[in-house]
Amino acid sequence: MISYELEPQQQQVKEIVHWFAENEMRPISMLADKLANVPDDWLRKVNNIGISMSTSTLGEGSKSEGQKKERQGNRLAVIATEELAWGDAAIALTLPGPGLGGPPIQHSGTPEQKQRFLSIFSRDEEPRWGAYALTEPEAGSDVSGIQTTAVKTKGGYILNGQKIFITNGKRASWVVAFATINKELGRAGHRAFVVEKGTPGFSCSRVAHKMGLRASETAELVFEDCFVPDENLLGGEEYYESKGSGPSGFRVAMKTFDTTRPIIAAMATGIARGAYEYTIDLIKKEYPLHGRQFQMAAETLASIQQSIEAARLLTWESAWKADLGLPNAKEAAMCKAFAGKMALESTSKCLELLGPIGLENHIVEKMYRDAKIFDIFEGTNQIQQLIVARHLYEPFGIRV
Amino acid sequence: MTKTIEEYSLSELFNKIEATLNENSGPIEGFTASYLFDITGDGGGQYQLRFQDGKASVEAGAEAPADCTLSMSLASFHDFMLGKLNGTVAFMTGKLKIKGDIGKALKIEGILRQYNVKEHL
Amino acid sequence: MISFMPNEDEISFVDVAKSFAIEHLRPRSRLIEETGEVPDDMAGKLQELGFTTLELLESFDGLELPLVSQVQVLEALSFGDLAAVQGLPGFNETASFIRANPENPLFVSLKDKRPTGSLLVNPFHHSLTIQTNRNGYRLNGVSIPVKMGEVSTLLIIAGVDENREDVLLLLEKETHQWKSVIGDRRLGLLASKCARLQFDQLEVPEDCVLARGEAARQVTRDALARIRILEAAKEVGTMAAALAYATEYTAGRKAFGQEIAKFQGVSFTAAQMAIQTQGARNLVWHAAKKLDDQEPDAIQASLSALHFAHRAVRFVTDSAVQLLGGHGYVQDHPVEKWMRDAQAQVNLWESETELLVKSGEYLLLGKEGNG
Repeated sequence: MISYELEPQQQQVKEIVHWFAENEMRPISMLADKLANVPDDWLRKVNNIGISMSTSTLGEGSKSEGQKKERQGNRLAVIATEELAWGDAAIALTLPGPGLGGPPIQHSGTPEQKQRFLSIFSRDEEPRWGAYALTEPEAGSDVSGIQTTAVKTKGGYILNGQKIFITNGKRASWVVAFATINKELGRAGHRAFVVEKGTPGFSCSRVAHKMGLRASETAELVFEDCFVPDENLLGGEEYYESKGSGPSGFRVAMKTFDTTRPIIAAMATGIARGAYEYTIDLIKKEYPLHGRQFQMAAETLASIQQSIEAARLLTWESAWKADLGLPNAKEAAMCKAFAGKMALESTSKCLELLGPIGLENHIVEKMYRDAKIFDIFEGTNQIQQLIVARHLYEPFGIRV
Repeated sequence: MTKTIEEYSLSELFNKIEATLNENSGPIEGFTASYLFDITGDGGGQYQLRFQDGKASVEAGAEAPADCTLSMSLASFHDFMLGKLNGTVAFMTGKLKIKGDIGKALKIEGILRQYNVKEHL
Repeated sequence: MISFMPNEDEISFVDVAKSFAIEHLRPRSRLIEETGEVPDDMAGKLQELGFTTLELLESFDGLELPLVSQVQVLEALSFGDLAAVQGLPGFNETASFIRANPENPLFVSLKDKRPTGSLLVNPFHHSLTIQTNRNGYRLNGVSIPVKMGEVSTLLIIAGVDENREDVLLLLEKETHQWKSVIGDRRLGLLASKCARLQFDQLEVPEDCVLARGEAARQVTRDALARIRILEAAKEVGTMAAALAYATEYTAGRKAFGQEIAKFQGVSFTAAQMAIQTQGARNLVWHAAKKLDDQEPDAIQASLSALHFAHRAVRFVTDSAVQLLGGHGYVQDHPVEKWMRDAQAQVNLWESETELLVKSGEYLLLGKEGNG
């Protein structure tokens, strides 16, 4: 049956995370943007509370109920993430946890690897992070063009190369890094390695200054004759040998997008909603309730509200399919493409309504700068359109 | 190991909580809040836990208004006391339902974690 | 729960609708436009299958389906041909008024009738005036064009009298003669029998007054919310048709050495068409569910859903013509007709901008503004 009502658990998750966003994140939001950093003591405090963005945590609950309940992890994750981003997207990305490094380890790691790498995130210890390192200076959208090499040696691999735009890359205890064992093999040569902080030859060369998401750490990583042991090849040699011509490291990277894209779309939706709510509150208080100003505001706000609603529904649809185990790559791309564009357009229109005060130290101004990246990372708008198009033309035997 | 947790009545468990909290008032100094624990299922019951002036007090029943009501099954309550159930995970998975002040709910979770009630059993 | 899964009954009914649309509506859509009407056998078959009584109350022998089910069926039918769907006999929009005000005694007498209904929304007091009278009203003038106006036998008028008071009237052709004035119809929806209605000092007694004032506004508000969602669903069907047709065409058409789908200018346009169609579909389902469940923001959602659908159907049908190039412009392919039908469609009731402004008024004021 078609339904958009939140179940009690979904509602509770939304309320708890919203409370956290409003009472813990918003108070330091502007400061963190100014400092281009999330204060350490704040991170320690919230690590203690234990709110996490992990789909596995949220999914586990329903399974361990005993009965055969429908999986909820993806739907819960998009609900929770929208609230976190409503609070502050940069801080949301800085919350302790495995981050985008979690899904590849979940999907492709050996049981030993899952235990070793995913058990380090504890409420009772200091906050830790994981990271996901795929992008390189010369390889962004064209992932098949990665240049970081992994040369087989005794007991492991030697990695050489560079990664950029890596969220939490500097503070992470480990990063899931993608390298090629043989450039001539193209995608089939890709491998995913878990490289631990402090490994000789692995370092962070700099942290980037950005348009927005300033409080989030965006690192450049360098591998210089970095030795990574066999036990850190994600999935182990057996994974690649048994799959033969099947999934390679490339597949590992691509598969996780079907889960992470809706989450990013949910974040874009949260940012837009934050800006919209702020703006409509202000308009209700300060605008006359009739006349041209009012009508223009009504039109603009209605347009923003409807696009936020549309983005959310596309995102929920994608997450719902993922929960049901149905293929959702097209929907994941659609929601990401729509939400990414919508967030920038919505925040821009909110600034229009705010007028010149929008230029100053102002949360909507920050949200506008934060919004732009959502149309770019996790696959640019153009890549998303390409994926949607591929699904549209596939039944006709055309590869676009 | 004298008794397993299942052998304690809910009333005894709450008395243990009260005693444990008052033994070390550090974490609860200056904290003012009232909670209603609604433990469901066989052997369940309703208990209020009140914090004021560095003291914790437990009372059976649900008469007085509470800042926040926490509902969970008896089994979940046992797990929680034994440190086997992570409070925040319990909230997020719906094992622990909150009605009322969310901030206070997260606070009590954080406070109770600091005490090792199971050692007092 | 969050689920996008139709139930089994919906799936079955949609299957029937889709098959009919593809096997019968689509092949005869050009003929339907040329003759300006839906052939009797086709209308008869659709009535038999229940497609003309989806909205009608069960006490009227209708199916009284929830909106969330109706939108799926209407989308499937419109996939065949929007113009045909807009040219069908039956209660049409008047069914939504009956649904919004089932206890109204005036509706009772219609139970055993099989009229063809039309709705006239007449907010402006110029070419058609509604004048208060000793016993009811006097109607005089010519209305704006109204869907099925040429042939309708049952008319609901939502208008204002000379004192700007809202009034809701119910007229039957057999009792109150009005004339239909057929204009030079060219744009689209040519089978929908649009015509202006002419009233020559027509006396309309008290027993034709469904409601006045706030009561009239309330019923109209509720009925229009339903109508908007049903219309938006038809637009989604049109979008789906244009998307499917353009995708297939561009997958086969070759230029510069390859199928033109391989050029991103083309494939990205198709991707945008798909996103807008799905976006519209979701908003329509969501608004339908809200209205079925009587949620407080249901009316705002209906305004929003129709606005989005209007913009999207113009974009998608226009893009379909564009993707077919010169072939899209000539009448050998259906896309130019769908584009015309879409533009005619969005002209039917409230304007696109009006829908958006009203939606915003609900967001800011919790109700429609004073205009």
